[in-house]
Amino acid sequence: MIIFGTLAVLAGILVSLSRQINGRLALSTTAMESSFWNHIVGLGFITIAALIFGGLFAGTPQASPWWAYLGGPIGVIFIAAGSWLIAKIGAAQTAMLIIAGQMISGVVLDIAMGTAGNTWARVIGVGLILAGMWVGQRQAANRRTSEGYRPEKRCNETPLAILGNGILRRPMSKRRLSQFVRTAALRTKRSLSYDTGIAAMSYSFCRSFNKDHKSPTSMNAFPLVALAQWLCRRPLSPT
Amino acid sequence: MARSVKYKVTGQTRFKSICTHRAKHDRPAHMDTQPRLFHFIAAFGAGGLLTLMVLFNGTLAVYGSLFFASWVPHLTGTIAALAILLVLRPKRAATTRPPLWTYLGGVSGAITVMLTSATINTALALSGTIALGLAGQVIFSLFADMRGLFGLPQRMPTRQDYVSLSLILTGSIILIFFGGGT
Repeated sequence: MIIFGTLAVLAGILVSLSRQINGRLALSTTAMESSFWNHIVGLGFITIAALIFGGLFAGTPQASPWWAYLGGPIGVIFIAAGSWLIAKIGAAQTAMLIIAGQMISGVVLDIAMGTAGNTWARVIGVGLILAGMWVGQRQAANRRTSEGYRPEKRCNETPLAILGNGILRRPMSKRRLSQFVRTAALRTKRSLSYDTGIAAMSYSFCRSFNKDHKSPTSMNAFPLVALAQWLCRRPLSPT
Repeated sequence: MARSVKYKVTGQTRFKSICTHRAKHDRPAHMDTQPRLFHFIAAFGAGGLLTLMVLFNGTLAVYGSLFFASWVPHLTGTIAALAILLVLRPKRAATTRPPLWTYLGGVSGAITVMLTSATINTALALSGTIALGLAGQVIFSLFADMRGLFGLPQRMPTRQDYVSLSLILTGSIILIFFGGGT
Protein backbone atom coordinates (compact mmCIF):
# COMPACT_ATOMS: atom_id res chain seq x y z
CA MET A 1 0.00 0.00 0.00
CA ILE A 2 2.81 2.39 0.96
CA ILE A 3 4.61 1.43 -2.24
CA PHE A 4 1.58 2.23 -4.40
CA GLY A 5 1.01 5.49 -2.52
CA THR A 6 4.61 6.48 -3.21
CA LEU A 7 4.15 5.57 -6.88
CA ALA A 8 1.04 7.78 -7.07
CA VAL A 9 2.94 10.74 -5.55
CA LEU A 10 5.85 10.03 -7.92
CA ALA A 11 3.41 10.19 -10.85
CA GLY A 12 2.40 13.69 -9.75
CA ILE A 13 6.04 14.75 -9.41
CA LEU A 14 6.73 13.45 -12.92
CA VAL A 15 3.82 15.49 -14.32
CA SER A 16 5.39 18.63 -12.88
CA LEU A 17 8.90 17.56 -13.95
CA SER A 18 7.74 17.00 -17.51
CA ARG A 19 6.12 20.44 -17.62
CA GLN A 20 9.31 22.08 -16.32
CA ILE A 21 11.57 20.33 -18.84
CA ASN A 22 9.17 21.22 -21.66
CA GLY A 23 9.05 24.78 -20.37
CA ARG A 24 12.84 25.00 -20.49
CA LEU A 25 12.82 23.70 -24.08
CA ALA A 26 10.16 26.29 -24.96
CA LEU A 27 12.48 29.04 -23.66
CA SER A 28 15.06 28.11 -26.29
CA THR A 29 12.63 27.18 -29.07
CA THR A 30 8.86 27.69 -29.09
CA ALA A 31 6.00 26.27 -27.03
CA MET A 32 4.64 24.36 -30.04
CA GLU A 33 8.01 22.82 -30.88
CA SER A 34 8.39 21.80 -27.26
CA SER A 35 4.98 20.10 -27.48
CA PHE A 36 6.04 18.31 -30.68
CA TRP A 37 9.22 16.91 -29.05
CA ASN A 38 7.26 15.89 -25.97
CA HIS A 39 4.87 13.85 -28.13
CA ILE A 40 7.39 12.25 -30.47
CA VAL A 41 9.79 11.26 -27.66
CA GLY A 42 6.86 9.94 -25.60
CA LEU A 43 5.63 7.99 -28.64
CA GLY A 44 9.02 6.36 -29.06
CA PHE A 45 9.21 5.51 -25.37
CA ILE A 46 5.72 3.96 -25.27
CA THR A 47 6.39 2.03 -28.48
CA ILE A 48 9.52 0.48 -26.95
CA ALA A 49 7.66 -0.30 -23.70
CA ALA A 50 4.76 -1.85 -25.67
CA LEU A 51 7.18 -4.01 -27.68
CA ILE A 52 8.74 -5.26 -24.43
CA PHE A 53 5.51 -5.88 -22.50
CA GLY A 54 3.26 -6.63 -25.51
CA GLY A 55 -0.51 -6.26 -25.76
CA LEU A 56 -0.63 -2.94 -27.61
CA PHE A 57 -3.58 -3.97 -29.80
CA ALA A 58 -5.37 -6.14 -27.24
CA GLY A 59 -9.17 -5.85 -26.99
CA THR A 60 -11.23 -4.30 -29.76
CA PRO A 61 -9.57 -0.90 -30.39
CA GLN A 62 -11.18 -0.59 -33.87
CA ALA A 63 -14.60 -0.44 -32.18
CA SER A 64 -13.83 2.86 -30.38
CA PRO A 65 -15.74 5.92 -31.65
CA TRP A 66 -13.95 8.38 -33.94
CA TRP A 67 -14.06 11.29 -31.49
CA ALA A 68 -11.99 9.34 -28.95
CA TYR A 69 -8.99 9.95 -31.23
CA LEU A 70 -9.24 13.72 -30.65
CA GLY A 71 -7.34 13.35 -27.34
CA GLY A 72 -4.02 13.67 -29.22
CA PRO A 73 -4.55 17.07 -30.89
CA ILE A 74 -6.05 18.43 -27.65
CA GLY A 75 -2.98 17.15 -25.81
CA VAL A 76 -0.73 19.10 -28.19
CA ILE A 77 -2.47 22.36 -27.26
CA PHE A 78 -2.41 21.38 -23.57
CA ILE A 79 1.35 20.66 -23.48
CA ALA A 80 2.13 23.80 -25.50
CA ALA A 81 0.03 25.92 -23.13
CA GLY A 82 1.74 24.38 -20.09
CA SER A 83 5.26 25.01 -21.41
CA TRP A 84 4.37 28.58 -22.33
CA LEU A 85 2.71 29.36 -18.99
CA ILE A 86 5.30 27.84 -16.66
CA ALA A 87 7.87 30.54 -17.50
CA LYS A 88 5.23 33.25 -17.16
CA ILE A 89 3.39 32.43 -13.92
CA GLY A 90 5.62 29.76 -12.36
CA ALA A 91 5.28 26.02 -11.86
CA ALA A 92 3.10 26.17 -8.73
CA GLN A 93 0.53 28.57 -10.13
CA THR A 94 0.39 26.76 -13.46
CA ALA A 95 -0.26 23.47 -11.67
CA MET A 96 -2.82 25.08 -9.37
CA LEU A 97 -4.86 26.72 -12.12
CA ILE A 98 -4.79 23.63 -14.34
CA ILE A 99 -6.06 21.58 -11.38
CA ALA A 100 -8.79 24.17 -10.74
CA GLY A 101 -9.83 24.16 -14.39
CA GLN A 102 -9.83 20.37 -14.53
CA MET A 103 -11.93 20.00 -11.39
CA ILE A 104 -14.54 22.61 -12.29
CA SER A 105 -14.91 21.48 -15.90
CA GLY A 106 -15.17 17.89 -14.59
CA VAL A 107 -18.14 18.92 -12.45
CA VAL A 108 -19.72 20.70 -15.43
CA LEU A 109 -19.18 17.60 -17.58
CA ASP A 110 -20.67 15.34 -14.88
CA ILE A 111 -23.80 17.53 -14.64
CA ALA A 112 -24.10 17.70 -18.45
CA MET A 113 -23.85 13.92 -18.74
CA GLY A 114 -26.22 13.41 -15.82
CA THR A 115 -23.76 11.51 -13.62
CA ALA A 116 -25.06 11.01 -10.09
CA GLY A 117 -23.20 12.87 -7.36
CA ASN A 118 -23.50 14.71 -4.07
CA THR A 119 -24.76 18.23 -4.90
CA TRP A 120 -23.53 19.75 -1.62
CA ALA A 121 -20.03 18.37 -2.04
CA ARG A 122 -19.97 19.79 -5.56
CA VAL A 123 -21.12 23.25 -4.43
CA ILE A 124 -18.61 23.40 -1.55
CA GLY A 125 -15.75 22.02 -3.64
CA VAL A 126 -16.31 24.40 -6.57
CA GLY A 127 -16.79 27.33 -4.14
CA LEU A 128 -13.47 26.61 -2.39
CA ILE A 129 -11.64 26.31 -5.72
CA LEU A 130 -13.11 29.59 -6.99
CA ALA A 131 -12.14 31.31 -3.71
CA GLY A 132 -8.60 29.94 -4.05
CA MET A 133 -8.35 31.23 -7.61
CA TRP A 134 -9.60 34.64 -6.52
CA VAL A 135 -6.92 34.84 -3.80
CA GLY A 136 -4.18 33.64 -6.16
CA GLN A 137 -5.22 36.05 -8.89
CA ARG A 138 -4.60 39.11 -6.72
CA GLN A 139 -1.03 39.87 -7.57
CA ALA A 140 1.57 40.10 -4.88
CA ALA A 141 3.58 43.23 -5.65
CA ASN A 142 6.53 42.23 -3.50
CA ARG A 143 7.01 38.79 -5.03
CA ARG A 144 10.68 38.04 -5.29
CA THR A 145 11.60 36.70 -8.70
CA SER A 146 14.80 36.31 -10.63
CA GLU A 147 15.23 35.61 -14.31
CA GLY A 148 15.95 32.09 -15.46
CA TYR A 149 17.89 30.98 -18.50
CA ARG A 150 19.01 33.86 -20.68
CA PRO A 151 19.85 33.10 -24.31
CA GLU A 152 22.42 35.89 -24.52
CA LYS A 153 24.41 34.45 -21.61
CA ARG A 154 25.44 30.87 -22.20
CA CYS A 155 24.94 28.96 -19.00
CA ASN A 156 26.68 25.72 -18.14
CA GLU A 157 23.73 23.35 -18.18
CA THR A 158 25.24 20.00 -17.29
CA PRO A 159 23.18 18.08 -14.70
CA LEU A 160 25.74 18.83 -11.97
CA ALA A 161 25.69 22.56 -12.70
CA ILE A 162 21.89 22.50 -12.72
CA LEU A 163 21.93 20.93 -9.28
CA GLY A 164 24.45 23.54 -8.16
CA ASN A 165 22.33 26.30 -9.64
CA GLY A 166 19.34 24.96 -7.77
CA ILE A 167 21.27 25.12 -4.51
CA LEU A 168 22.88 28.46 -5.26
CA ARG A 169 19.57 29.79 -6.54
CA ARG A 170 21.18 31.48 -9.46
CA PRO A 171 22.16 30.33 -12.96
CA MET A 172 25.93 30.29 -12.91
CA SER A 173 28.40 30.12 -15.77
CA LYS A 174 31.30 27.69 -15.59
CA ARG A 175 33.74 30.58 -15.36
CA ARG A 176 31.91 32.16 -12.49
CA LEU A 177 31.66 28.85 -10.67
CA SER A 178 35.43 28.30 -10.89
CA GLN A 179 35.96 31.90 -9.79
CA PHE A 180 33.64 31.23 -6.88
CA VAL A 181 35.57 28.18 -5.72
CA ARG A 182 38.96 29.80 -6.31
CA THR A 183 38.14 32.90 -4.27
CA ALA A 184 36.79 30.71 -1.52
CA ALA A 185 39.99 28.68 -1.52
CA LEU A 186 42.15 31.81 -1.42
CA ARG A 187 40.28 33.10 1.56
CA THR A 188 40.74 29.79 3.31
CA LYS A 189 44.50 30.00 2.88
CA ARG A 190 44.58 33.14 4.96
CA SER A 191 42.87 31.56 7.95
CA LEU A 192 45.01 30.38 10.86
CA SER A 193 43.30 27.19 11.93
CA TYR A 194 42.56 25.29 8.79
CA ASP A 195 39.35 23.32 9.37
CA THR A 196 37.56 25.86 11.56
CA GLY A 197 38.78 28.47 9.13
CA ILE A 198 37.07 26.61 6.30
CA ALA A 199 33.71 26.80 8.06
CA ALA A 200 34.09 30.44 9.08
CA MET A 201 35.39 31.55 5.69
CA SER A 202 32.72 29.63 3.82
CA TYR A 203 30.13 31.35 5.92
CA SER A 204 31.47 34.85 5.34
CA PHE A 205 32.11 34.11 1.68
CA CYS A 206 28.51 33.00 1.12
CA ARG A 207 27.24 36.10 2.82
CA SER A 208 29.35 38.45 0.76
CA PHE A 209 28.63 36.52 -2.45
CA ASN A 210 24.89 36.64 -1.94
CA LYS A 211 25.11 40.33 -1.10
CA ASP A 212 27.15 41.09 -4.22
CA HIS A 213 24.83 39.20 -6.54
CA LYS A 214 21.55 40.26 -4.92
CA SER A 215 20.46 36.67 -4.48
CA PRO A 216 16.93 36.50 -3.03
CA THR A 217 17.98 34.26 -0.17
CA SER A 218 21.25 33.81 1.62
CA MET A 219 23.28 30.98 3.04
CA ASN A 220 21.94 28.09 1.01
CA ALA A 221 25.26 27.71 -0.71
CA PHE A 222 27.11 27.34 2.60
CA PRO A 223 27.31 23.53 2.72
CA LEU A 224 28.40 23.42 -0.93
CA VAL A 225 31.17 25.98 -0.44
CA ALA A 226 32.34 24.29 2.73
CA LEU A 227 32.52 20.98 0.87
CA ALA A 228 34.31 22.57 -2.08
CA GLN A 229 36.87 24.16 0.20
CA TRP A 230 37.38 20.97 2.14
CA LEU A 231 37.96 19.09 -1.12
CA CYS A 232 40.46 21.72 -2.29
CA ARG A 233 42.58 21.59 0.84
CA ARG A 234 45.48 22.61 -1.30
CA PRO A 235 44.07 25.92 -2.57
CA LEU A 236 43.88 26.42 -6.30
CA SER A 237 46.78 28.50 -7.63
CA PRO A 238 45.64 32.03 -8.45
CA THR A 239 46.39 32.58 -12.13
CA MET B 1 0.14 76.19 -3.95
CA ALA B 2 1.79 75.95 -7.34
CA ARG B 3 5.01 74.98 -5.66
CA SER B 4 3.47 72.10 -3.74
CA VAL B 5 1.91 70.76 -6.93
CA LYS B 6 5.28 70.95 -8.63
CA TYR B 7 6.90 69.02 -5.81
CA LYS B 8 4.22 66.41 -5.97
CA VAL B 9 4.76 65.92 -9.69
CA THR B 10 8.53 65.65 -9.41
CA GLY B 11 8.10 63.21 -6.55
CA GLN B 12 5.87 61.03 -8.67
CA THR B 13 8.14 61.05 -11.67
CA ARG B 14 11.07 60.19 -9.47
CA PHE B 15 9.19 57.28 -7.95
CA LYS B 16 8.22 56.10 -11.42
CA SER B 17 11.81 56.24 -12.65
CA ILE B 18 12.91 54.15 -9.67
CA CYS B 19 10.23 51.60 -10.47
CA THR B 20 11.18 51.26 -14.13
CA HIS B 21 14.83 51.09 -13.15
CA ARG B 22 14.15 48.23 -10.77
CA ALA B 23 11.96 46.43 -13.29
CA LYS B 24 14.77 46.68 -15.82
CA HIS B 25 17.19 45.10 -13.40
CA ASP B 26 14.88 42.38 -12.18
CA ARG B 27 13.63 41.14 -15.54
CA PRO B 28 15.05 41.44 -19.02
CA ALA B 29 12.56 42.69 -21.59
CA HIS B 30 12.21 39.42 -23.52
CA MET B 31 11.18 37.50 -20.45
CA ASP B 32 8.43 39.22 -18.54
CA THR B 33 7.65 37.13 -15.49
CA GLN B 34 4.88 39.38 -14.20
CA PRO B 35 1.66 37.34 -14.22
CA ARG B 36 -1.24 38.75 -16.21
CA LEU B 37 -4.93 37.94 -16.09
CA PHE B 38 -4.94 36.20 -19.46
CA HIS B 39 -2.23 33.82 -18.26
CA PHE B 40 -4.58 32.81 -15.46
CA ILE B 41 -7.49 32.35 -17.85
CA ALA B 42 -5.32 30.35 -20.26
CA ALA B 43 -4.14 28.03 -17.47
CA PHE B 44 -7.72 27.54 -16.29
CA GLY B 45 -8.78 26.76 -19.86
CA ALA B 46 -5.90 24.27 -20.17
CA GLY B 47 -7.39 22.45 -17.18
CA GLY B 48 -10.67 22.21 -19.12
CA LEU B 49 -8.75 20.72 -22.07
CA LEU B 50 -7.28 18.16 -19.68
CA THR B 51 -10.78 17.01 -18.70
CA LEU B 52 -11.65 16.45 -22.38
CA MET B 53 -8.35 14.61 -22.85
CA VAL B 54 -9.06 12.30 -19.92
CA LEU B 55 -12.56 11.64 -21.30
CA PHE B 56 -11.33 10.81 -24.83
CA ASN B 57 -8.33 8.74 -23.71
CA GLY B 58 -10.50 6.97 -21.14
CA THR B 59 -12.93 6.02 -23.93
CA LEU B 60 -10.00 4.53 -25.88
CA ALA B 61 -9.00 2.55 -22.79
CA VAL B 62 -12.51 1.06 -22.59
CA TYR B 63 -12.15 -0.50 -26.06
CA GLY B 64 -8.37 -1.11 -26.22
CA SER B 65 -5.51 -1.72 -23.77
CA LEU B 66 -3.96 0.97 -21.55
CA PHE B 67 -0.91 0.99 -23.84
CA PHE B 68 -3.21 1.67 -26.79
CA ALA B 69 -4.96 4.49 -24.89
CA SER B 70 -1.66 6.34 -24.41
CA TRP B 71 0.04 5.28 -27.65
CA VAL B 72 -2.71 6.57 -29.98
CA PRO B 73 -2.92 10.12 -28.47
CA HIS B 74 0.87 10.40 -28.72
CA LEU B 75 0.75 9.31 -32.38
CA THR B 76 -2.11 11.62 -33.39
CA GLY B 77 -0.57 14.38 -31.26
CA THR B 78 2.79 14.07 -33.03
CA ILE B 79 1.04 14.35 -36.42
CA ALA B 80 -1.06 17.31 -35.27
CA ALA B 81 1.96 19.14 -33.79
CA LEU B 82 3.96 18.55 -36.97
CA ALA B 83 1.09 19.92 -39.07
CA ILE B 84 0.77 23.01 -36.86
CA LEU B 85 4.54 23.61 -36.99
CA LEU B 86 4.62 23.27 -40.77
CA VAL B 87 1.70 25.67 -41.24
CA LEU B 88 2.58 28.33 -38.67
CA ARG B 89 6.41 28.02 -38.71
CA PRO B 90 6.93 29.83 -35.38
CA LYS B 91 10.22 31.65 -34.94
CA ARG B 92 12.67 30.21 -32.41
CA ALA B 93 13.43 32.34 -29.36
CA ALA B 94 17.18 31.63 -29.37
CA THR B 95 19.79 30.69 -31.93
CA THR B 96 21.82 28.61 -29.47
CA ARG B 97 20.88 24.95 -29.24
CA PRO B 98 19.13 23.85 -26.07
CA PRO B 99 20.80 21.09 -24.01
CA LEU B 100 19.81 17.54 -24.94
CA TRP B 101 18.03 16.74 -21.67
CA THR B 102 15.35 19.32 -22.47
CA TYR B 103 14.02 16.93 -25.14
CA LEU B 104 13.27 14.25 -22.52
CA GLY B 105 10.05 15.78 -21.13
CA GLY B 106 8.03 13.21 -23.07
CA VAL B 107 9.70 10.27 -21.29
CA SER B 108 8.63 11.67 -17.93
CA GLY B 109 5.07 12.07 -19.25
CA ALA B 110 4.99 8.49 -20.60
CA ILE B 111 6.25 7.03 -17.29
CA THR B 112 3.44 8.94 -15.55
CA VAL B 113 0.84 7.10 -17.65
CA MET B 114 2.35 3.75 -16.68
CA LEU B 115 2.58 4.61 -12.99
CA THR B 116 -1.04 5.78 -12.79
CA SER B 117 -2.33 2.75 -14.66
CA ALA B 118 -0.44 0.59 -12.14
CA THR B 119 -1.91 2.32 -9.06
CA ILE B 120 -5.50 2.70 -10.32
CA ASN B 121 -6.15 -1.04 -9.95
CA THR B 122 -4.98 -1.17 -6.31
CA ALA B 123 -6.75 -0.15 -3.10
CA LEU B 124 -5.92 3.49 -3.93
CA ALA B 125 -8.45 3.40 -6.81
CA LEU B 126 -8.91 6.37 -9.13
CA SER B 127 -9.66 8.99 -6.47
CA GLY B 128 -6.69 8.07 -4.29
CA THR B 129 -4.35 8.06 -7.28
CA ILE B 130 -5.57 11.50 -8.39
CA ALA B 131 -5.41 13.00 -4.87
CA LEU B 132 -1.86 11.76 -4.16
CA GLY B 133 -0.79 12.82 -7.65
CA LEU B 134 -2.09 16.36 -7.04
CA ALA B 135 -0.17 16.51 -3.75
CA GLY B 136 3.08 15.37 -5.39
CA GLN B 137 2.61 17.78 -8.28
CA VAL B 138 1.97 20.81 -6.05
CA ILE B 139 4.82 20.10 -3.60
CA PHE B 140 7.37 19.54 -6.36
CA SER B 141 6.16 22.66 -8.23
CA LEU B 142 6.62 24.78 -5.10
CA PHE B 143 10.12 23.38 -4.58
CA ALA B 144 11.04 23.99 -8.22
CA ASP B 145 9.71 27.56 -8.05
CA MET B 146 11.70 28.34 -4.90
CA ARG B 147 14.91 27.00 -6.36
CA GLY B 148 14.41 28.07 -9.97
CA LEU B 149 15.16 24.52 -11.16
CA PHE B 150 15.94 23.71 -14.83
CA GLY B 151 16.80 27.31 -15.75
CA LEU B 152 13.23 28.52 -15.27
CA PRO B 153 12.57 31.81 -13.47
CA GLN B 154 12.84 31.53 -9.71
CA ARG B 155 9.82 32.70 -7.76
CA MET B 156 9.42 32.79 -4.00
CA PRO B 157 5.80 31.86 -3.18
CA THR B 158 3.96 34.47 -1.13
CA ARG B 159 1.51 33.90 1.72
CA GLN B 160 -1.31 34.53 -0.78
CA ASP B 161 -0.01 31.67 -2.89
CA TYR B 162 -0.12 29.26 0.05
CA VAL B 163 -3.66 30.33 0.99
CA SER B 164 -4.87 29.98 -2.59
CA LEU B 165 -3.08 26.63 -2.93
CA SER B 166 -4.66 25.14 0.17
CA LEU B 167 -8.15 26.38 -0.82
CA ILE B 168 -7.87 24.82 -4.29
CA LEU B 169 -6.45 21.55 -2.91
CA THR B 170 -9.18 21.28 -0.26
CA GLY B 171 -11.87 21.93 -2.86
CA SER B 172 -10.33 19.33 -5.18
CA ILE B 173 -10.12 16.69 -2.44
CA ILE B 174 -13.80 17.28 -1.57
CA LEU B 175 -14.77 16.92 -5.24
CA ILE B 176 -12.63 13.81 -5.72
CA PHE B 177 -13.87 11.89 -2.68
CA PHE B 178 -17.45 13.18 -2.23
CA GLY B 179 -18.44 14.75 -5.55
CA GLY B 180 -19.05 11.45 -7.34
CA GLY B 181 -18.66 10.92 -11.07
CA THR B 182 -15.22 11.36 -12.66
